[in-house]
Amino acid sequence: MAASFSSSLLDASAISRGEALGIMARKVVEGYIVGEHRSPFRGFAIEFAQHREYTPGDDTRHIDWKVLGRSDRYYIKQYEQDTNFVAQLIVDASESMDYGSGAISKFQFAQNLAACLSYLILMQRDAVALEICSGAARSHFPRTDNLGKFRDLSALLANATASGPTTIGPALQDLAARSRSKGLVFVFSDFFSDEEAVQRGMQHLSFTGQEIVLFHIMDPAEMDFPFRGAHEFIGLEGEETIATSPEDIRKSYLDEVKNFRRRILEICERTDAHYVFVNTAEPLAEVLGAYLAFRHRTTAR
Amino acid sequence: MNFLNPAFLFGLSAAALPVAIHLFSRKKRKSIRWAATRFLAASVKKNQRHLQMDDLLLLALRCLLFGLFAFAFARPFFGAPPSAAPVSTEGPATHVLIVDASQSMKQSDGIQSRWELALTAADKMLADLPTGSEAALLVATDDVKPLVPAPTTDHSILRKSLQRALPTDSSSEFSAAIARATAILGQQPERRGIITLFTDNQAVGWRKSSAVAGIMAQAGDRVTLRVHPIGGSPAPNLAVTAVKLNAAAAAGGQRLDCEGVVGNFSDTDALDVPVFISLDEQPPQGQKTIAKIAAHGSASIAFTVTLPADGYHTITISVQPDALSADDARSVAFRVLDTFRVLVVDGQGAASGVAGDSYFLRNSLAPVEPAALADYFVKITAVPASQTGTLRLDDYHLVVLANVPRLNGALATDLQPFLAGGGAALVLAGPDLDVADYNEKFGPLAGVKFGAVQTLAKPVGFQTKDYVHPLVAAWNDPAYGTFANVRFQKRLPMTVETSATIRPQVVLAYGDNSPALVETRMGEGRLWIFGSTGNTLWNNFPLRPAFVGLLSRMVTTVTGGKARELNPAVGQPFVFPVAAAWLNKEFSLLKPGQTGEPSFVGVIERSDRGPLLKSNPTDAAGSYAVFVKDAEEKPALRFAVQSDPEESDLAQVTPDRLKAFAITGEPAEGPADAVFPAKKGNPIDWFLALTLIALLVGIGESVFSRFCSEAR
Repeated sequence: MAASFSSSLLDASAISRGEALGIMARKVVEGYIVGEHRSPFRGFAIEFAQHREYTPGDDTRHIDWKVLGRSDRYYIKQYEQDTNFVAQLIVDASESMDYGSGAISKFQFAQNLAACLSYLILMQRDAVALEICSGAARSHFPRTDNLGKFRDLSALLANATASGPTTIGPALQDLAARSRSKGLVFVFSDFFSDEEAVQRGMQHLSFTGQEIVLFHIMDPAEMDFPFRGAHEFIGLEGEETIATSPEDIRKSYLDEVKNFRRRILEICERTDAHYVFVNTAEPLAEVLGAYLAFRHRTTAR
Repeated sequence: MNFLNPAFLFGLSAAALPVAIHLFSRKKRKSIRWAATRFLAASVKKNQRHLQMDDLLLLALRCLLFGLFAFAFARPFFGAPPSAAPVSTEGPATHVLIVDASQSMKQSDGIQSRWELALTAADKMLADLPTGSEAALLVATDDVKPLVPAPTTDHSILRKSLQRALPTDSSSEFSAAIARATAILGQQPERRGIITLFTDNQAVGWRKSSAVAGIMAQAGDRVTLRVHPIGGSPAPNLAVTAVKLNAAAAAGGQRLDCEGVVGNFSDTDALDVPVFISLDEQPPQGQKTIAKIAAHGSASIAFTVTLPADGYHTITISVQPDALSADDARSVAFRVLDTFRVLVVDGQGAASGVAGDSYFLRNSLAPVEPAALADYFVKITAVPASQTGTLRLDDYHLVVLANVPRLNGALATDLQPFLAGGGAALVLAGPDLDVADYNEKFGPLAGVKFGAVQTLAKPVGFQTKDYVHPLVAAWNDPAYGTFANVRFQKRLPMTVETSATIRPQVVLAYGDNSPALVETRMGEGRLWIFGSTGNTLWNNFPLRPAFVGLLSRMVTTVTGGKARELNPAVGQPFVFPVAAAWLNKEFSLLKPGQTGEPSFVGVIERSDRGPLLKSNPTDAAGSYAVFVKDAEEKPALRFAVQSDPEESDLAQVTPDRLKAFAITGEPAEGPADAVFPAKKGNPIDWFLALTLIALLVGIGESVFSRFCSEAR
């Protein structure tokens, strides 16, 4: 993996792709934070930011007792995050992620999304680590809070190719085993894998105190199944080729997809993970913006 | 089944189109590299079974749809092919005139018969036909006789043929004639066809009305059937519908009981109906009166006549002439024997008196005073069983074997040929009869085997009712006598063995249902086997009147064996085996009502049955005389042709009945030129029906297809 990484670094086109990815990420992120000037990852960190009124369910540890003594009112202290925040990004690079009915594949979308988030986090001087899972092989970019390393990170992302079966479940378990501090874990995958393994991995991560954000990436064709006429579907991950008439099974297929999404959502609910459904037909900025806005909303209380 | 547009049947191959599309689409599948195969596999697995079923059903419906359309456009129809040429309703047409020549057309109003009216009407129609119209001419009875079978424009030939036509005594039934007419018209498919039937519309003629409707349906629109009713309502009619010769021996000088049945085919009772009887077309020798014959009923009247000398004769029973005189007399022909020769072989010898085996037999066969025996027609020759070696069985009409121990001499060798040649034999059991010898020599011949002598602890009688066999059927009438007082103490039990060639029939059974008297037919002859004695040793039957009656019926059966051949139906030829001496002789016939010299018919020819006299098909009912050149007898033969008694019922077909088979109108009272269009069973009906079915299948396919799509 290291060899391939080194070689890809020397590859001009790969470098070019990495730069393009980095520039794109910068553009998206900077476009988003104009006027905000505040980290969207605001939470209960070190630097005090503001008070807000206590509402049932808030952690009583954060009640400002001094304000209570002075005003006989319950206020919660909120803080700005500091740089000891570590975001782990796990990108599924299985062959199923290589599917794209439009201009962009799921994997490409995951690459861009991961790059954007990385840049955003580095911009806040928080730390980022990246892992790309491609079958049994994994590419790893170690933790860094140096924005200057973003170029290398984006190059690694850009040069990764989707191959092999989906192994996102075991990857999550490995990450949970390695995690020493609390942080954020971003998972980018279509989750076309063993759902049990995914659940175990997420439970493990959740147990270690990680806040998990799960980007469930699917292609619009996978959701709408718009094909007509006789088709032969060749499995990207070595599954049996299926010959059928899509019109005949569309309803049943859409039910299967709906149930699958429901099951992934249930896994997220059970593991306190945040579920973000990503349709690759939507613009990346919109997806990222929607997520960041949501996060801002939920953590700004 | 035929097709109007058979070329469209190639369209049936279009039924393969959906299959071809299905196979082609399987070949032309678009390949896609696909990530979410897991959902696809689950969906396909879940739906595979019903998808296949639905697809197959849809495929079948689509194939059926194409097939039905192709089939519909091929215009199927049943029966003869109608004309594909456009049918013109204008211009010259081809006509077929059918004139009803059945017996009922002889009905007369005193001035003209319906036949004459029909000829006049047909002649007028021919005269009025437009120039260029073709016509053929048929005469209809229960058969069809073409007078001018091919359509011709020469109307004078048609009119001459019409004038030469004669009515018959046949029954009427029009389906054959109408079928022939449509066949004639079918040879000119480009022209309109008009069948005109001149008839008194007797209901009997339309008895196969459904067949007529079918024939016209096959003929199609192009052919029209017109019924031209002749005459008005039918007149009351009395008819002799049957003449029966009852029992009694048919021998010269003897008295013969016969019975005439007179039918009253009118709505009122017939009172004081005089009935006459005559022999051989002579003036009536007897008259009786039937006091009353109920409306639409019949009555019988019995006569006794003294039979003339040896030979073939006819008895005619008649009533006074009425509007339909043809059925006012009916004749039957029969043979009178000068002597009826019986050979009685007595097991103990003929001189054994009352205790002898044949004493009662001989006296019952000739129940007259000894002084009168010489003049009596039954001549009996009685011989003991030991003297059968020199006998010639062919000299006798009936051979009786009474308790004959064994079948030796002539009995062993000549009996079978004698029976096959038309002779009759009666075998009576007895204590001397060698069962084993009979079973060996007689069993295979007669299909009957004897068992050991049975002595009955409790005497049994004959069956007392349900006499089926013609020989004893008369005893169903108690007035004829009874078998009830007969008792048997001993008997030889018999086993009847039916085979492909020998079919014995039980004539009389004992009270315990075992066979008592069995008849086996062999060629023209008959063999009767009785399981007990002909004397009073084992039973009291010879002491009962029924014994004489039964023997008398046997004699009558032997003498009247050829009654059916002597009395053919109208339309049938007279076919009769004659003496070898008449071979190659010319013969002529004197028909009923014919006077003067008989008409030459033909020559007696050899056949499988020996020399055979065969006439042309007969057309008149009544007594016929046959004259054979150089024969001593004048006439040599007589036979009587029988008309159908149903033809005497002049009731006309009801309009409702005509409607029932799709020929509408008022034939009896309607206008003289009432038109009865043929039933429309033409191909367009099938086309519409098939197209409708195809459309329904198409709708079904659409609905089902939509249902499948929604379900998926």
